[in-house]
Amino acid sequence: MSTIVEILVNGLASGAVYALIALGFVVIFKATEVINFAHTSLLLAGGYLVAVLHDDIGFAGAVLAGVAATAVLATLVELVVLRRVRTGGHATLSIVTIGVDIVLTVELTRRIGTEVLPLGDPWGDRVVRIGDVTIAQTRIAAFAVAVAVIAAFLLAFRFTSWGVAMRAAAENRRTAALMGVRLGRVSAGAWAVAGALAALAALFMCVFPTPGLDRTTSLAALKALPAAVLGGIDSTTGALVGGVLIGITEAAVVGYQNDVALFGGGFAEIAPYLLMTVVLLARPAGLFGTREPARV
Amino acid sequence: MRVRHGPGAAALSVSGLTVDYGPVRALREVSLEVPEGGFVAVLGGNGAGKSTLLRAVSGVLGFHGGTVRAGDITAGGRSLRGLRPDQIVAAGVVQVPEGREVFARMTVGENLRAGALGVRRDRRRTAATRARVLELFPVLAERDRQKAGLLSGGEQQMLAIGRALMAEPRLLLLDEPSLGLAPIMVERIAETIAAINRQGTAVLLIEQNAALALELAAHAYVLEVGRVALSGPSTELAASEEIRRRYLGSAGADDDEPADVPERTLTRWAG
Ligand SMILES: Nc1ncnc2c1ncn2[C@@H]1O[C@H](COP(=O)(O)OP(=O)(O)OP(=O)(O)O)[C@@H](O)[C@H]1O
Ligand SMILES: [Mg+2]
Repeated sequence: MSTIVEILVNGLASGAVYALIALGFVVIFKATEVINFAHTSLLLAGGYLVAVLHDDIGFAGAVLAGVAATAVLATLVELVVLRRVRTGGHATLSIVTIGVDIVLTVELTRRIGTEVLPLGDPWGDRVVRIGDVTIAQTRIAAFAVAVAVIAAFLLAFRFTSWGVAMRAAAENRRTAALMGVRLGRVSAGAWAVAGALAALAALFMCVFPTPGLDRTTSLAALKALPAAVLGGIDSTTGALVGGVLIGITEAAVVGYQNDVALFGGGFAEIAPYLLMTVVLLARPAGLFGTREPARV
Repeated sequence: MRVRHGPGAAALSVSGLTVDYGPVRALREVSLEVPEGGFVAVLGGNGAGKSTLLRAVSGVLGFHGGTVRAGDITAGGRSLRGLRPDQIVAAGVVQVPEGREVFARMTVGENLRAGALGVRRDRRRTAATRARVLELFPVLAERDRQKAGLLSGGEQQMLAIGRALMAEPRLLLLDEPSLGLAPIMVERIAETIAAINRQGTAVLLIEQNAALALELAAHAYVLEVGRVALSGPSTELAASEEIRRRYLGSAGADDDEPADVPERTLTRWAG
């Protein structure tokens, strides 16, 4: 019994973090119809900044700086790289982000090397015990922060002018332009928000039980892409549901891994992609999506 | 804040406008003028280039793969050519696109809000504009929280016009607002457009419904295969044999003339 509860709690916590990352994919897709394959290397950059800064300016300062710097970096990618490739269609631009991803990943893995960098978080490996259920403090922090940030994002998306402009542009870019929406700003804003969300997610991906940030962190974060796709790449609700589904699936597979020794214990790595494939076979646009991501 | 402009400057002046979509020439040296506070109509059949004209004015040709090859477009004496769509909206020139194009997944209230995105105004002024729009279209107030995609065609057209009015345009561009609407709804929309014009907003109305357009507008242009084939005061055009035969469907003449009519001007008012 306690196993199931722990699996659900852990799954929900990591699912909330995947939802943060998936939301980044969705925001950029909605604003620009581009799938940002550089998203996880931006996440790695955010985590790396927190790792190198926390000794000097403290944990909270490092997180703020990391989030802000990653938002700026993402905006720069949009302004300096994507805006210049205006000739290509959305598919071309998505491929351009693969190039950006490679450049960022190469530079970051060169800096990180084979090290595992701690992020200096205050929770360490402390746990909370409720009955016979044991939950790491980091999981609780991850869940609480992710829920708060997602709620703030959804409120802004629903009620602010920024949100109205984003949704108008997502629905019909030309008509939004006719209303005086500045599509360039919408796009840059989406990249900034996605970058900030990614940096925050990086933090929670690198704390207990994970030993710290290493060069494979971006690979682990990439599981949020199937989360976004299975939820529907143009749906914020889909990102949240997809994130939680992937989180719980992964936790369940890890929890019962010994019982089902599939793929030599590596089943947890492919479970998200398997789940995505199954969902897409039934619903090509994802659970809540209106468009297939392959549409050009 | 209204853009200041010299006395006598037209709300819109288009001169020698030539537009291509790749190898396809859609407009050839089109010139026309909408006086400050005036009401001008552009008539023409399918593919005449009417929507292309409005796309060029609003600066959104790029979305359709079109480019302005030659000519100039000015509003209140200020050139719009090369401006971004948002700058053109900020200059007071706002379009209601063909087919309405309301944001279907957003509520009626949010659509109106989207219409005000192009002009930075304080809350009180935006609220006042909104109140005026809702006075013009009371049905929109009733449907405030409803998704725009669920409105009827006529209600969507009202929303599209209301949304454009949220930007407090000096010149309103309307692309076939009567398209696909029942006669009674066409009449309602026509009355509203006339009222908007009476309140001081200049109107450029694109229509295939020539009878309606000539009734509303003071002056009209006829586009044929990308050229201005005819222009003049509405009363003169409505009386002209050619217009009656081609666009008003009056009996008496049944010979089919070729489309390429040389430009004729019925007045000294030619632009
Ligand atoms: N995106 C486009 N690419 C290529 N050609 C186009 C495009 N849009 C319009 N055209 C061509 O330009 C010409 C003018 O089209 P336009 O849409 O301006 O006509 P219209 O007068 O608005 O017609 P309708 O009354 O049917 O709306 C047509 O010959 C059309 O085929
Ligand atoms: Mg048209």
